[in-house]
Amino acid sequence: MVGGGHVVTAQPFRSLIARDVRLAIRVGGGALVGTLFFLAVIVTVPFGIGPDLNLLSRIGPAIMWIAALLATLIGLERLFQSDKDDGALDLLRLTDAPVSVFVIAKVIAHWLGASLPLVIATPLLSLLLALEPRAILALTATLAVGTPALSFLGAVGAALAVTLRRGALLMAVIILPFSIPVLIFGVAATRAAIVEPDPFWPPFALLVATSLIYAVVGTLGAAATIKINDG
Amino acid sequence: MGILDYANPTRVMRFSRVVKPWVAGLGALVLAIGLYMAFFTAPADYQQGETIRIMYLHVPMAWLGMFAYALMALSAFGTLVFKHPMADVSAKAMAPIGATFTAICLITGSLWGKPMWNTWWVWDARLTSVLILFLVYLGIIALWQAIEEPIKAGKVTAIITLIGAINLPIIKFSVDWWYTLHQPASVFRLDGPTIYPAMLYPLLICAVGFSLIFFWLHLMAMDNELKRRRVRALQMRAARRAAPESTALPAGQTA
Amino acid sequence: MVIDQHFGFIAFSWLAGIIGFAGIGLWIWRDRKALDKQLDKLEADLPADASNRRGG
Repeated sequence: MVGGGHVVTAQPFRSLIARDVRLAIRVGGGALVGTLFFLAVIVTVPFGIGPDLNLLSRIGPAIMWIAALLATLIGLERLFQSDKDDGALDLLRLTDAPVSVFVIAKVIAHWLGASLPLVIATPLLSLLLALEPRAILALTATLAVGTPALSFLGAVGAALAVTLRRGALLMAVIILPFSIPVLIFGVAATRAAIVEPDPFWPPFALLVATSLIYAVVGTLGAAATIKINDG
Repeated sequence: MGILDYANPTRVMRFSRVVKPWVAGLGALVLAIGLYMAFFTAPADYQQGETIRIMYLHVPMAWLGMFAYALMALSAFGTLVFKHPMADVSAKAMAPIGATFTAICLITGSLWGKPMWNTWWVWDARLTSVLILFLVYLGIIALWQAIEEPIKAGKVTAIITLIGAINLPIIKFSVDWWYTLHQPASVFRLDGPTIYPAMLYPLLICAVGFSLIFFWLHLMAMDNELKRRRVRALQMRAARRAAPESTALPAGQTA
Repeated sequence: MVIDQHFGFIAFSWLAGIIGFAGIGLWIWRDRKALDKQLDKLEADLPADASNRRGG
């Protein structure tokens, strides 16, 4: 349960993260489903494109990034659903508990349970698309650094979904345009590892900056949306 | 007399009724002058020839698409921070108009790009960020439609609008940060415009004309939104009169 | 202005502009008509003691 009240201590924060990660990892918890979706897309793509390994290794990073994007955003819809169901959100609105801290805890837990497995699976799945070692390294690094941006962005969508009780598809559509910069920088950085003259560090730095900015804006946006009462 | 005096719907509608015809008339006049100059007195471009005539529509639409979003973001700020009652009316009215201008900008840009760059579209920074702006507009419009209760709709769209406002500086500076296909800024620059005066003045006059038309459209849309809210209020009142016991609201909900 | 080989692009651009403006203007106009009709009906149905009138 959220450590309510005015004092923010580390213990409730940590226990919220721990609880959510444990719940997510359990079978049916939904976290590993994202990774399975990631795997499904990557396995399906070569059937659509054909077995040309050269072509696959050139567009592989982009495909994996898009798959990661979709897997992450789809999985984030229900981020706050359980809290809405058990009344935790109402408690947050009624007390002075800092909703931002709650949002950060939920997002970190979600990233640990859902996005981290995806990043860990990336090197293995890259082999299916015949990526070179340098591309695999760059791809994994960009996903590790870029998926937090997607998680914080998805938190805003999840907050909308839970405050509005409206179609999840609408929320995904509203959030999707903001995920495009993350995609652009992530793929640009990865491509730099394959195509020689392209620089790696500028797009990578922009990706880091985007994650940081989205962390702040996403948290504030999600918290503000949650605080909008039904009444 | 301050902005709070326009917190009253009646006052807003009275203001708009007085101002509208002047704005429309002046806008039509200025635009007519600007268009005449754009087509008949301004020279053809040294490199682009007559295609430069598209600039007199494309550029003002780009400016207005961004300007409308900026005003929407300002209204969003007014809703969330100052809780100004008319701010969300202004924001809601602005969204479809800004989206239309951005769409015209994208379409005319594409039609200008084909003869000049030999491509209908390219994923350079400026075009991509304007496309994102358009998508964000659509998302905001969808959000307005999705939420029934006006106050709540105002707050939620305000949050999303402010998040999307990050895009505006990106659009503006994208042609400076990334040297790709779309040409760099030639009007709003620290060193002053680099465009010929014979083209600059028609451009600015067209921009002013289009802005006045935009203002007129916005006033009309705000009137509509105020009328829409009054319709909703009257409908709810009529429903309550018809069956007072059975229209008790569920716990925790206000009108 | 001279009619050169790019005239089609110029014409379609300005046509897009006209259609865009006409479209949004018409949409706002039709909305206004519908709302006025609804308001007239609702305000006619108001009981005689209704003290606040619509502005504008």
